[in-house]
This record gives sequence, structure tokens and C-alpha cells, in this order.
Amino acid sequence: MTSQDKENVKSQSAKQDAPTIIEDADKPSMGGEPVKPRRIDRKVVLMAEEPSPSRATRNTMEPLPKRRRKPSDGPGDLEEQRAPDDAPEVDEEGPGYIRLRVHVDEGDMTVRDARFVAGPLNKLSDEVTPGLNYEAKVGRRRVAVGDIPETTEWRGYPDPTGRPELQGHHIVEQTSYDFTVRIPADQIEESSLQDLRIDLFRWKGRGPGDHIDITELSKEPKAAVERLASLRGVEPKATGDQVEKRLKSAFQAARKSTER
Amino acid sequence: MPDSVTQILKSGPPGTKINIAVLGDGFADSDQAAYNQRVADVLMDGVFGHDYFFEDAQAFNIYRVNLISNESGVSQRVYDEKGTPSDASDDVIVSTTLKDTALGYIYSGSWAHCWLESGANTGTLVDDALDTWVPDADLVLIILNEPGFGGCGGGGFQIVTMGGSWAVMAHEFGHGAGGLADEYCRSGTYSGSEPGQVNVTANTNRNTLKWRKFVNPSTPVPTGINDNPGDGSCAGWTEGTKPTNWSSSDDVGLFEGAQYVDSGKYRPVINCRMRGNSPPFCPICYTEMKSKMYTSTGHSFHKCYAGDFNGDGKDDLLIHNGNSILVYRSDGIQLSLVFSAVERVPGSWQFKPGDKFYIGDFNGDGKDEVVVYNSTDWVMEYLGLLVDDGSDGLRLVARYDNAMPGWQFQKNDAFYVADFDGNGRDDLFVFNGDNWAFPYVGMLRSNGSSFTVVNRYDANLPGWQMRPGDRHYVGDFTGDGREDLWVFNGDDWSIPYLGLLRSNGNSLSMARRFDGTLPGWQMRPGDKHYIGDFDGDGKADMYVFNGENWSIAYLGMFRMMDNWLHLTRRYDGAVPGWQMRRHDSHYIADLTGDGRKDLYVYNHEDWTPEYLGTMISHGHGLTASWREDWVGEWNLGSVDRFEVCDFEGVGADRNLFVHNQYWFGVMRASPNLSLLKIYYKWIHNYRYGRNW
Repeated sequence: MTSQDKENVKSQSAKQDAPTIIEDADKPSMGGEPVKPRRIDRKVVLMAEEPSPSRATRNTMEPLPKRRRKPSDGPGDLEEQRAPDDAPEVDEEGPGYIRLRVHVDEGDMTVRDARFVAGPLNKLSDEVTPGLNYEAKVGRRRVAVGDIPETTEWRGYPDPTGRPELQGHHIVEQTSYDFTVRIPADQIEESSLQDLRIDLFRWKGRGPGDHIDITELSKEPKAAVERLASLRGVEPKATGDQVEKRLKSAFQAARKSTER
Repeated sequence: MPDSVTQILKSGPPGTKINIAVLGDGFADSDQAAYNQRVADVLMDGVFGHDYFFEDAQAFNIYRVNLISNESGVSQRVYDEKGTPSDASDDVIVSTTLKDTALGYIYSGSWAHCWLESGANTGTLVDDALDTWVPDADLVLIILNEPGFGGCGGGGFQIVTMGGSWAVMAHEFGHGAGGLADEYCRSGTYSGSEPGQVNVTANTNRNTLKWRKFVNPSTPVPTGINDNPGDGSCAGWTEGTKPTNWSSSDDVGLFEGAQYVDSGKYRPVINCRMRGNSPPFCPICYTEMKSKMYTSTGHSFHKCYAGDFNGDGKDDLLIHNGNSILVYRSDGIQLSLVFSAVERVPGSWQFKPGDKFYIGDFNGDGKDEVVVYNSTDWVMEYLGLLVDDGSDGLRLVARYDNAMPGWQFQKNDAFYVADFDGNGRDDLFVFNGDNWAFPYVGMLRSNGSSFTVVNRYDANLPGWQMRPGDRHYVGDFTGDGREDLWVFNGDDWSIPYLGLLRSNGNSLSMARRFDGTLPGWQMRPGDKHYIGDFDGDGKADMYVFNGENWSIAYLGMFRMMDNWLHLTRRYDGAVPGWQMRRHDSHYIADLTGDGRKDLYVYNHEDWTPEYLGTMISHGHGLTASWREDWVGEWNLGSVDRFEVCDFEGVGADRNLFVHNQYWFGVMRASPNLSLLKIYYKWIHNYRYGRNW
């Protein structure tokens, strides 16, 4: 490539007579020496004018039917399309996740149920959208982040008959409510439950479609972010027999899934 | 009948979707059909059959839990409301009639009691049902077998009777899924701080308003002020004259009255779904829903296809994402969603990530249909034909499982859309060079509702010995209305070959074979061919580009005449206006509508910026022009993909759909390359502003 060419590679020229760019000077130009047939396995292999039929008999299609069947009028009742026998039960594989149902009562948080769910979980994202958000950490390691659309308000439907005093929702504010935390099964073990920390925030955001990095939440002004509740470690024995069993069973299922 | 579950919307693994559990209470064995119908009517056809939820159905799984109650109908409670129906504090229970139902809900029909209430064990019964039947519910819809009106919801739950409408349910999902505030008004004044929800505000400053990017500068802010605070009404447009084309649900301003007060708090539009239930979500609520659900939808713009699916002359857009398709209709100016299908279309075709789509008018009705082929996701290969369902959607009319008479599908079957019999209906050529002992070519004729193999070539085409590396193109080089087959092989022989096989509608015959050279052109393995009538004589001609086998890039124009390809023009290194480079890629299209096929050309590898250009044919040569780096607001990049189309319906291929993961654009080629539309993450026509 000439120095002029090198200069040209930076951008197209708008000039009609822009110079030709040499891509590879070691290669020939078309129209020079006739192209010689290349050898394939040391032989010159050329196509015959009238190729003879293949004599292969294995791995061939069935012969073309002599009579054409009349096309059907429609698909009729079709069977379900069949997935391979070894296809996973859920569409995509993943380590599965622990689903914790967490109860909040006046700022206190307790675990009230747990189960293992097979399959992938949406990738851990640091981003949250306005509203209620949770962050779960094991020690200092963030293991889950999520949005919770609503929890605290129960609403009755407006009266359909138009009685003026019954327009709009009948609103009841809840002081206790549940929400769900999902933690990838490969991010938490039963033994690390005591180090599990969950915080529930309300972030007011700025507008529709806003996202924020959860690590930035602490930098938001206090008027924009409120910590509603926290959980500092889970002691399975202290959760009650039933929840303890459910926790044990969830982690057992997670272990089995990981082993598979 | 035992309890059971039916997943009625299957979008994906529960951990990647928003999961809705539907439970029924008071539905005895004999009521199950009514329950199923109610779910179908109100949830599937209602909520998920309209606007936002229709569009983003792929973000959701829906599990219909079929709980059998021992008795039909739900328990009843009668209150003496003491003449104050809005005040529950003085109410007295007159009677309670309990029924043995699956969940034990009690209907009262009293507004102040949320219309219904839980029985003694309802919480446990609901938890048990969810735990048993739904792996990971995010939202729970409970339908009571009760004809009276009512509904109560919160915390992701919605409990409704048979008397409600889908629109109210969609409004409630706005709370449950989107965290949206109510926008309706009651008597009262708000004096608190800025509310957290995105669709209500106390801020009247245009410069800091949280939805300011959706407010047209010509719209006054505030737009509507309540002149009679305390009357309980929501303000409409009060500040000056309302524009005649103002949309009460789509045009954004700042209207006083929202979230249970009539002054001091404002909403974005006059009437959104979060106020009036029936209108669609306003731009603010829609954008919030879309943003929150974007990851769960799994949507991207990677797989886009152009086709005129309603026959109006304007090319529409089909987007395939995993197990769903979306169809957007072009009106020549913008795209609007008309069809959304998750998991399957009636017929049935079950969508999968490995589906390949081929667009053509297979029934000759002037509208494009869709052939879909999947050879990777199932235990066998499937081919389906999807046609217009009469209401902007698609339905399957033919499906072939594993084989059709005369052709056994294999993984690497490659299809080419071509009307090879000239009857106005597109047909298919199919080639497989990899999966059998020798290659095959099949001619699959369409009768509009099915395909028939009219001929098959095993190992050889007339005058052509097939090899795995054969590359095929279609184009009518005789001008008889039948599209012919062109085949090139540059790799499997000692010299490259190009064959032109004429179709008579039932079979192929070798019209001309070129061995090693074309007139004025030495064929090489890296030759790339673009078939199209560049001189407007009704016969398909050929462009050939080679950027890799020579010291410089070459582009040849070969005119078809008397069964012979004649060199019209060869460009060595440059077309006037375009310096050719190794990685130039081309798209053939009649950009100007003059009946001559031109070329789009794109290069994102050989220059510092990216270039998109056009090469216009005047029959004997080309004239090029280009844009560098940007086309309007579109920043050209290596990830961009292009689909030639006639989006504007001008009778020319003068538009390009350009797309990558997050961005979708529509470009116009002539008179100069320009950008008509640009969309980010989703296609929505905001009246003002946009979602980025």
C-alpha cells in the first residue's frame, strides 16, 4: 500500500477520481495472467459437462414418489411439536434460585417461606427502577437486587353505580406485607444464611423509565431514598419449625440441582 | 376432578418472567368451563389482548390453577351499613352464609369492606395453592364465582368477582406490575412532598418536571388547573385553547388532580388507564411499564423481517424474539403494533429461537405470507406456512413434520423464495449439501395453502454436479415470469463455476454454464453475486463483487441477453463516488423505482468511520453516494443489520430497516440517504418526546 493509500484508508474520498486502494499488493490484478486451476489433493478437479448420477446408496433420501399426493386442505389437528427427550424441563438451563418470601412488619423483616425454583434467573443487575427495591447481600457480596411494584396499599374497586361517596378506590394502608427475594442458588448456601442481609428501600426516582445503579442509592438525597426495613442474618431455628423445614428443603433441592 | 394447573401463557422459565397465578374460588366441578371461559375472556382476550399487555405478553407467564370447590358460588356476608356506605366503622354484620369453597372468600358487596374479605383460613389456602401449583408467582389474580360487582387488590394480589371488566383489571395490573399511582380525583388538597410514583407529581416547574421530555414546548405548564378545588373533579385543559388534535390519553401536559385529590397534585394526561380504566396507558405509564418489564420480555431488534402483510404496498415489520413474534404495520410514516403472539399461533406453530423466516406471497393474494422452518429446537425438523388470519395476525395453514412427500427435511436445508412457475404465487427452492451422501435440490410448489415437491434433483442438476459448497440465487434471467435458479461454486472445484438453470415451472434445465471465467471477469472463490435486473429489460442480470482474491476490489455488472452474460461494466477499485474496499457488503434493491436494480453498500471494517452508500444503476453503469458515520441520528456501527424494503409504499425499495439489539431505524435511500424513524428498545410513536 502506498503512503497515499495509507492516508486514504482513514476515510472515503468524495472525489470522483479518488485513487484505487490496493488491498494486498501481493495478490494479482484481474485480467493479468490467466488463473490456473488450483489443485485439490494434488489433482485438478473439474466438473463434467454432463455429470453422471451418484452411486451412493447410504444416507440418501427416499425416492421421489411416483404419484403426487393431493395437497391437504389444511393442517387439521396437529400434534404438539416434539422437543428432544433430553430437553430440560424449563426452556433454558441455570443453577436455579432460592425464592424467599419475606414478611415486613413495621420495619422488621422475617423470612416466612422458602423454596427452590429450577431454571435461570434474570441476570443480576445493579439497576433498579423507581418504587420499592430490595438488595440482598451475603456478607459484603451482593447476591440479589430487585424491584417490587407495590406492597403497602390495598384498594377496593370504585362503585360501578356512581354513588358519589363511593367513587374511587377504598384504600387501606398495610403496615405489614410480604415480598419476594430471589437469590441464584449458586450464590448462597444454607450455612451462609446467618450472613444474609436484606434491605428494603423506597426510591422515588425522577421520571418514567429512570434507572439507577443500586450502589448509587446511598448517594441519593434522603428525600429520594428511604430505607423501609432490614434483615440482618437468618437463623433457621428461630424462624419456626415450618419455615426451618422449608429452608432446609429449598437448599437441599438446590444442592441436588447443582450436583446434576 | 382433582385440582390441577394449566399454563395458558408460556413465555419462558419462571425466573426470567413475571408470573401471574390465577386462582378460582367457588367454582365447583361443573363450573370449571365457566371459570376457564372467564379467564380466557377477561385476562387473555381482555387484558392481554389490548395495547400494553398485548405488546409485552412475552414478559409474562400465566398459570391458571383449576381449584375444585365443593360448593358452587362463594360465601356471603350482609352488612348493615347504617346509611354510611363509605364508612365501615359503624357497620354491623347482619348475616354470614358460609360455603365450602377452595379458598373460603366471603363476598359482601360492600365498598367499605373492599367488596369481599378473607375467611378464617383463606391466607393459608391461597399460600398452599400457590405453593403447590405455581413455582414462583409475582402477581395473583383470584376470581370469585360471584355475579355481583366488586374487586379488591394490593400487594400483587387482585381478587375479583365475575362482574368486573378487563379494563379495570388492566388498571389494577398497572398498580401490581408497574407500581403506578391512581390518577383519578376526589375532593382534597395535597401539600406533601413529591410523590414516588412516576405518573403523579406535585411539581409545576416545567424545567424539573419528571415527565418534561414528553411535554411539547408549546403546551402550557400547568396545562389544566382546577378552578374549584374541593369539587372532586380532575382538571382538563384550562390554560388557553386546547389544540384541535389534542389526544386526551396520548398528549402529555400537567393536569391538576390525581391520586385521590383534586388540587396540589398533578397527572400527565387528561385521561389515562390509571384514571379512567378504558383508555390505554398514557406515555408516562406506558414508558414505565415498558422499562420495568424490558428485561423480562427478552425483546431485542436482532431478528427483523420486512414484508407487506396486509397488501397495502407498504412493507411492514416482523420481529422474532425467542418464542414470540411481533408484527408492526407501516402506514408509510410510522410503525404500529398489530399482532403479538407468544409461544404459538393458531394452527399451530410453536415459536422457538431457531425459527428461520422466509417472506413471500405464497398464495398470490397480494399480501406476504411467512414460511417458517426450524431444524434445531425440536426432535425433528418442522416447516410451516403462516398466512393472514383476517384480523392483522397470522395463523398456520400448513405444517410439515420431518418430511413432506418427496423431501425429508434435514438440519442444513436452505430455502430460497422464488415464483418458479410464474403463476404469481411464490414457491420454494430447497438445497441441502451437507446432511446426505450427496446434495439435493428440491422444487416446492405452493398452491397457496400447502407445498408439493414437483421435482427433486439428487446429486446433479442438469449439466451441474452439485457439491456442498454450492451457493444459490434466484432471478428470472429469461424474462418469462418464472424465476430461475443460479448456482455458483468457487470452493469445491479446481476452477469456479457458475450455472444458470432455467425453470419451466416443473423442472430445471441448464441454460448456460460458465467455467472459470465470465466475459471480462476471472471467477474466484470470493466472488459474491447479486441477481437483479439492473438495466430494466425484464430479465435478471448480475452484479459480482470480489474484495478478497485480488490486489484491489472489483465489481462487475453482467447483463443477461440471449442466454449469455455480457459484461456491461467492470469497476476496478472504485465506482464513481465510492472507493471499493475488501469488506464492502451489498444489498440489491430498486432504490429509485425506475425498474432497474441498484445496490446499497455498507462498510464498517475498512475505514475509520463506517460508510453506508447507494450505487444507482443507469443501465450501463453506477453512480454512488454515501453517508459517513451517521445517517441523521443513526450512528452507524458494526452491529447494524439492514433489510431492504418499501416502507413508504412508493413502489421502490428505497427504504432500509436498520437494526441491532437496542435500536431500530427506517432509512430512505433517495434522493439522499436519510433517517425517517428511530426507535430505542421498543417501537412506540410518542406524540411528543421519546423514551431516551
